[in-house]
Order: sequence, then structure tokens, then C-alpha cells
Amino acid sequence: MTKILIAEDDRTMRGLLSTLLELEGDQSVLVSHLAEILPTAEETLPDLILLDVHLAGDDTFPALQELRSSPHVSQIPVIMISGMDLKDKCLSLGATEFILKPFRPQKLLQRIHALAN
Amino acid sequence: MLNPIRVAVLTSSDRAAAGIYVDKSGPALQTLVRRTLPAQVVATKILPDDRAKIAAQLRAWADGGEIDLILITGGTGFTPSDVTPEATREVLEKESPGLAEAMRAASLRITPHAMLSRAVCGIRGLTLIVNLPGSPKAACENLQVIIPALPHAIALLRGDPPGAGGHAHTA
Repeated sequence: MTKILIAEDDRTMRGLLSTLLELEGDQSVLVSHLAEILPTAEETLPDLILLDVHLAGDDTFPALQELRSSPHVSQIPVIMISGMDLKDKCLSLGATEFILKPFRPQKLLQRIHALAN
Repeated sequence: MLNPIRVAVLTSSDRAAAGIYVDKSGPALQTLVRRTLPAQVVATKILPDDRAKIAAQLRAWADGGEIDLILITGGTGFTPSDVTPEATREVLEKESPGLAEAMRAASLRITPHAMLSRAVCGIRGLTLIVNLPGSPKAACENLQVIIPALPHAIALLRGDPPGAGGHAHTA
């Protein structure tokens, strides 16, 4: 079973991704605020983190940097998603991959599984 | 939205109804509805691809006054047994083509096979009826497209005060 931490404030997208992951037999851990990301990652030790660049009015670059600085979770793959093309910035700050919205949920799940496994 | 949306989920599948295949689409839709809408699932059913049985179930649910939204998964394609759109049209009082068009448009960005979907959506009494594909993933992806519009749609059907569905009524 793959465990995915989803940091996404869009209730519909969060619900869809978690439901599709469960159909594949995976487990999802959901957070919707910046301050929850690092502590939840360190507590649950997911196989992959899906991080929306914009979360409840904040940008999540500080959280990405915290994740990369944490000895407990620094090696966990992070996919960042955004409606703006921020690929270069995300990758330069340590994201494993960037996916531009809108995306096909199935395509995202394929990338999640490829990186998590 | 003053009260939770009362949802019924109907799976149309000969194999699932016969117990040959475990229905995954119905449970997946129930999960997605609970996670994304102010809603409660109040009824579920698995029926074979039988036009008369599907239409009878839709009438019973819509006319019972206890259900705001009926989601039907399966039977929307081209195979001879696919009769969900015909059963649905039989009971609809008004069609709501925009919902089906939105789902098809979103699906077309994923696969050209989306143009083979014959799904219909519409209203009977105070109940909105939505056809969805049979595969659990496609059903969830399609429903996700229209979820943002559903609270307002149900509020309008209920005659709730303006803004109760989350958006001002401009139509």
C-alpha cells in the first residue's frame, strides 16, 4: 500500500484524488493548511507528498524548503501542482516533479505511483 | 445550503446485479460525494441493465420526496445492453444538457472515446438525475466536473433562499 500526503485546499480535487487513490488500494493523508504539512509528513512518513503551490492563501515554498531540510522526510518525493507554470522555481527549490493544472487525475496518479514506488 | 443534499446512488450493471462482479463504482461515488459535498447518501441500489427497472427506481426515488440528487453509474455507452439514458429520459420532466455537456467536454480533453458517452442529466419534480460512466474512475472524474455546480442546482430546485447554494442566481 502506498501512502500519499495530499496538501490541497480544493475540497473537490482533494476528495477526487483521495477517492481514486483508495480505488487503487492506496492510502491518503489530507492536509489543507501550510502549518500542517511538515508535522504531518514527519508523523505519517508518506511515500510521496503532493503539494499544491497555493494553499489557503499561502504559497507552499517555505513548506517545501522545510521538508527538504528535515532529516526525517527530506528524501520523500514531492510533486508540486499549480495553475501557473512554476516548474523551474519548484524544481530549483527541491520539488521532484511539477505538474501544471488542469491535469488529468489519472495522469497524476500514474506519476504518483511511478515516483512513490 | 441549509440542509445536506440527500443523494441516491444507482449502479446499472448486469454483472454486478448478478453478483458476478463486485460493484466498485457505486461505493466510489458515495465516498466522493461525502468528501466533496455537504451531502448524505440516503439510498443505494444495484440493478441490471433493464430499462423498465431503472425507470421504475428513478420514479420511486424522485417521487418519494426524500432525495435531491440521483447518481446513476453505468449503461451510458454503445453496447446493446446500455439503456440508462433511455430509462432516464423516460422519467425526466426537464433535461439539463449543460451538465452532461460539461462532463463530456472535460472528458474529451482526456480521451476521444468521451464522444461516445450518451449520458443525460435532468430534473424530475425536485430531484436532479445525473448519468455517469460505468468505470469507477471515469464516474468519479465526471462527477468531479459538475460538483461545483451541484449545491446551487439543488438549492434552486428546493427553492432555498438566494445564496443558500453558495452562489448568486444569475441564470
